Amino acid sequence: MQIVLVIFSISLASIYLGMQIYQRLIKKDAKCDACAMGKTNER
Amino acid sequence: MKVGLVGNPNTGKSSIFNLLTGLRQQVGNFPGITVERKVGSFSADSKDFKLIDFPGTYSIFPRSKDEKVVYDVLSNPEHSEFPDVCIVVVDASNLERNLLLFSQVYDLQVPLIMALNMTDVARKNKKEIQREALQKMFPSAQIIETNARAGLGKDRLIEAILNSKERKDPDYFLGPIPEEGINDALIQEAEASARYEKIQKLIDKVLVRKLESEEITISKWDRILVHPLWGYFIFAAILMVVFQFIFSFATLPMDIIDGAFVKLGSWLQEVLPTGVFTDLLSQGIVPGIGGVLVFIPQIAFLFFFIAILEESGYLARVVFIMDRLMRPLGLNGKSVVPLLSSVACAIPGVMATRTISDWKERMITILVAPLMSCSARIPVYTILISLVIPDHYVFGVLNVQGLVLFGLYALGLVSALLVALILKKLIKSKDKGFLLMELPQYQRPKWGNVGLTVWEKVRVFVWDAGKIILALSVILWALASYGPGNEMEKAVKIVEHQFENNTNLDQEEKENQIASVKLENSYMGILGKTIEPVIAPLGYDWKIGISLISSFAAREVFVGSLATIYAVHADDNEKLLDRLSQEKRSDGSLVYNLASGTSLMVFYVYAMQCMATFAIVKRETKSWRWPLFQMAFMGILAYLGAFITYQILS
Amino acid sequence: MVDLSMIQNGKKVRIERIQSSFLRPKLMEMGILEGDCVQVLFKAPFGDPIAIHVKGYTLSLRKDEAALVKVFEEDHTIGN
Repeated sequence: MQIVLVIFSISLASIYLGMQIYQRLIKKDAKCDACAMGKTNER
Repeated sequence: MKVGLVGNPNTGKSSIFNLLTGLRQQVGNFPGITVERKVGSFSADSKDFKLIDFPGTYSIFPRSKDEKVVYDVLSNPEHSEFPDVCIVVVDASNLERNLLLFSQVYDLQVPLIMALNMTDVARKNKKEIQREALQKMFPSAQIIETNARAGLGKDRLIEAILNSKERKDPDYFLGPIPEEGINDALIQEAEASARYEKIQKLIDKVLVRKLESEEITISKWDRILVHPLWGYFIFAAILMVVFQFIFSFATLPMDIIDGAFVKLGSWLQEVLPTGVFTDLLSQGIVPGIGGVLVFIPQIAFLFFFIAILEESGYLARVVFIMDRLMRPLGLNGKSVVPLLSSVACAIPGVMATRTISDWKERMITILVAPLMSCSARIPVYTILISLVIPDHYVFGVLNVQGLVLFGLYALGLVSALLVALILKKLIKSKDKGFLLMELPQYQRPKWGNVGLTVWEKVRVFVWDAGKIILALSVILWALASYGPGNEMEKAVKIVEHQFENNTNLDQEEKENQIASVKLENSYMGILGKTIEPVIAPLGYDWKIGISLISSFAAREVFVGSLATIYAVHADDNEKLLDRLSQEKRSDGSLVYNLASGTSLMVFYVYAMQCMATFAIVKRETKSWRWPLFQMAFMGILAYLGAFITYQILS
Repeated sequence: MVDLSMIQNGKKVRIERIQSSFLRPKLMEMGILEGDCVQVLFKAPFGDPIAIHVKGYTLSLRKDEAALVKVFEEDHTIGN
């Protein structure tokens, strides 16, 4: 019985970390591309 | 009903937020972007309200990702966060500049409440505001006086919120906000000067200055606190006091938390039926939670002081006097407090980088902060120094062990600054850094605000970083408790067999031996053995390898793992030192000699052996890329540093 | 041409022109406007950054940021 709980906990921890990593690595950070300051800089 | 809260920085916006919502606050993100959003709730007249705190800004035209949220939401009535009514906090002692943002939001046709805050400061500066004249300037806005620091104006604010109506006919102070202006600096410049011109024309009717002459005097505090000599002296003195407090007062609650969780673990082990889940609870989860909570005293103490310094207006002066010194390193004056906080603990240090508005400077500060030697390295340094550094004196007064400890701290600091310099060249950013910062007037800190800051920081750490720390603890536990096949059982049987034949040895010795062989045959042990060829050039064997891996949980775990491997009771430092000093390699030489010991210390200066820091960097950068990058470059530095040290000394 | 970074502590100056730069809109939003008066209050050690009085509040800016602001000197000073 206890082994089931342990397996469950370890998988939960791994899945949580795996999901977090997947989400954050895939998603790109939104930059402030509309700020005029960056634009003037490029001119 | 949604209520927005907008305003310039330093206007008492957060005081108003705290006044309305108290402890009913939540921190999250604006939908779809990684900009932090604080939401609070309150109810009045049997209605529930949601108060959304927008990032502080001086203008509706954004200069950063954070500020852009204000325009994006307020200019778009279809936006999910668009408020039904918006409170714009206006600093009465600084009316002209505050009216720029107010008039812009006014022209976006958002239903508005002007919270005329800090009227007490205005009065002290001999400025009186004519409300009727102000109302004439902005006929569609409700104007109310608040003094959030003194807790005044809550009822008036709520009444105004209940009275707010949609604005039907467009009604402009200057004219519509040009949509294309968001990308065009020239339009923004024209906007700003046209607005200020109109504000200037009307301000004399609104603002009655009772000051006899237009003389501007420098505050007597500024004469001392930004003084070329005294300024630094006082800053150093304040730091000393803060660190004294943290080290003398945070240790006690930390020891209590630590002790309580150790007790809880062993108690659970006793009362619960024997089994693997009990082990997981008592050796993985409970110590994991304890490992999160043990940081609370340090975080709370540091933010207690940082909040006081910030509330009083002194922090801006620290930035002012330190900016020039930090700039060549790609940092800015605002990086000073985060870096210095990291000497106690990198976690509050990383959290304190919030105030750095420039993205690149903030990233550099976060990335180098863990290089500052934190208090968790002290146990590791102490045991290694007493192991390999002779207790001698040079020049009669300087203790060599003390010198080495100082050297390790200096190495961390110098490395942090050098790495900052390199990162400055590596990290590309379109935005150029700038300072342009208001020096707010000195004020007595408000304890309610200080308390809420401390509470919020602790909560963010425990809740957001805690989940990751807990998950990692479970995995580390699994790695240390399980091994492939039945190697572990076999090894345990051998030990048990030895003890059966030799009844002279006591029970405790047997348990220590079993723990030792279990760890040796676990996945973690196998990992330690696998990396042995990699760490051999640094002077380490597989036992050190295991301790290195397990100390990712927290640096001080290094000492505990060594104790387990060498089958010494965890609290018996004397015995551990004794064991370590006798440990020999197969060729008969000592494992812990000057070369390997120093190399190990250098390794600990650099390596990011702290999952709590890892988790909080992930939380603050809202990305896994940065903490992973940080761990990689710190790991490489650690390896190279330790390699060079070992090769030179051996 | 004199710019704001060269002005001594206590001196009042009138802003003549702000040089075109990515910071120009930001400087204007902070209240540094052509034709207005500002006063240099004090400087950090090494003379950088500087603190000025503008629109009734204290603003600090780096020397190279202040150098964008061209000024006329006026002869008001504070007793210092």
